[in-house]
Amino acid sequence: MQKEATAPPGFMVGDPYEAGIVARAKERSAEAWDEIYARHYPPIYRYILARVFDAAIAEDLASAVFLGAVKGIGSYRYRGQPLRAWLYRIARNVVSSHQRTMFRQRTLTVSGVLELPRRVFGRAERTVEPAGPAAADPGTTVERLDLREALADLPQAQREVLLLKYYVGMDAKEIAGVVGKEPAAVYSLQARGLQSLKRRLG
Amino acid sequence: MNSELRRILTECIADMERGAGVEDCLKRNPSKAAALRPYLETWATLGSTSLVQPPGTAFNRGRREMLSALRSTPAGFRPLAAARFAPAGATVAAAVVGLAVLLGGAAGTSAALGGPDVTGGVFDAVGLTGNGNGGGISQSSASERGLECASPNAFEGSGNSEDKAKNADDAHEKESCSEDDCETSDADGAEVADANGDEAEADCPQTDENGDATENADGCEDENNGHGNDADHDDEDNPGQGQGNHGADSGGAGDECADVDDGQVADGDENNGHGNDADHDDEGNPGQGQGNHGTNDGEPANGNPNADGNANGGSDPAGQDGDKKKD
Repeated sequence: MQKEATAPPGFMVGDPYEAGIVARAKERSAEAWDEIYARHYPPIYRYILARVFDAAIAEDLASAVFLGAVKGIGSYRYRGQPLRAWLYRIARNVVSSHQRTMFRQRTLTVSGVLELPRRVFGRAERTVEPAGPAAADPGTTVERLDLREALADLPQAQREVLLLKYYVGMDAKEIAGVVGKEPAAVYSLQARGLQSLKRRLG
Repeated sequence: MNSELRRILTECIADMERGAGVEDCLKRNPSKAAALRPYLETWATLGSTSLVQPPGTAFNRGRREMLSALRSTPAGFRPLAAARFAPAGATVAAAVVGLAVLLGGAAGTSAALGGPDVTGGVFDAVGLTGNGNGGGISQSSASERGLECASPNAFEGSGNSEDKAKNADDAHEKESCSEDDCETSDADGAEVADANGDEAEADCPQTDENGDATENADGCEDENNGHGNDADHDDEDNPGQGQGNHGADSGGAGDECADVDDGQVADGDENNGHGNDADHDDEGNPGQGQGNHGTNDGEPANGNPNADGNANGGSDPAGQDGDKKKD
């Protein structure tokens, strides 16, 4: 990361392995994309799940993230930031788009049944309980539900840094690159978020 | 929580990211250990409880969809970029065409009025014209031939303007003034189109110093608009049908085209300003003053195809004024 701070703008630094895989992905190598998918799908899925609280929706939106990546790789330039930072930005946009659609539909729906929005990139609609327990969640479901609710109540900036830390698996420097803050500010936000979370969790 | 505790907590979070444990942080801050412990334990627990693994079916389905998209999206396809630059490309193309039209019209005007053939030298230099057998894109040196043909008859049109009724039906008995010159002009126009195939349209604006070819390129209905040697309207009794001066029709090629739509076609007179108009030719009046149509200053809709001839007097014997003009 020191290199990133001192390198001139546009000069490519960072992980040579990741630079190589990005180059292969730009050449539309199926192997490269397979590798990217295998490495990054789980954290992206977790991040989305932590945002939408629905496993089925999270699956669809996570797939949409990689479809968007395939379509957008041509304009992506690797400048030393981790590839997952770019994937995260796509995920954040996909989730935001989903939530905007959800909000619009909620405001239009008179009945209590929520109709799920059209999936990103033209995928088919289907009706799912929006806030039900995630069937795919193994382990301590109650704890996770409590944690999700507590996370959902956090201010957005605090929630983002915590989600990126614990669901996407980014360190503070990576998060800083994604959210446009200094690493020290990310640590501070995490500390504040932790305080808020602790209060909510009791 | 006071700011001091928050500062310590922030430091501990940073240390734990680098591998330190909860106890390490508490040992460094013994005075705040009691307050710090619940937060740090929560922080440490978060990592272990949040790492949910996606279902295998969802993982595989997403992978299939991604690889399918990878195959279906062409490499380097950037629809946003294409959409962004398409208007710019169209603008550049329109500007080029417009410039060519303006240059052609201006050059044609200059040449037809007897002034310098502005573009002739340039076109000759780049091989776009060919009055001889040089084989450029255009063989239509209409301005020169027009002067030769039209000048002897230049102002007879004024006399003929009074004879419209008599001139009515002799259109198809006519031949060109000088078969060599006039046929060459027509044939050349055809050659341009044939030889260049799809490129004919693009080449047309450059092929004719008088801007005539531009009319064709622009889709004007009368390919010979402004030419005295229109194949359908040649007058064998009217040698020297005055190709040369049509370039003086003001406004350039673009205006010519507009004139066809607005005036000539509307009037039913495709040869507005031509002496050998089918509706207005006079077999008894060879050289009906076509040469003058060039002075029709962008007013083809006036319904008087020989109005310019009138403007020039009409008492002048065939070609005299035209000769003056040529001089």
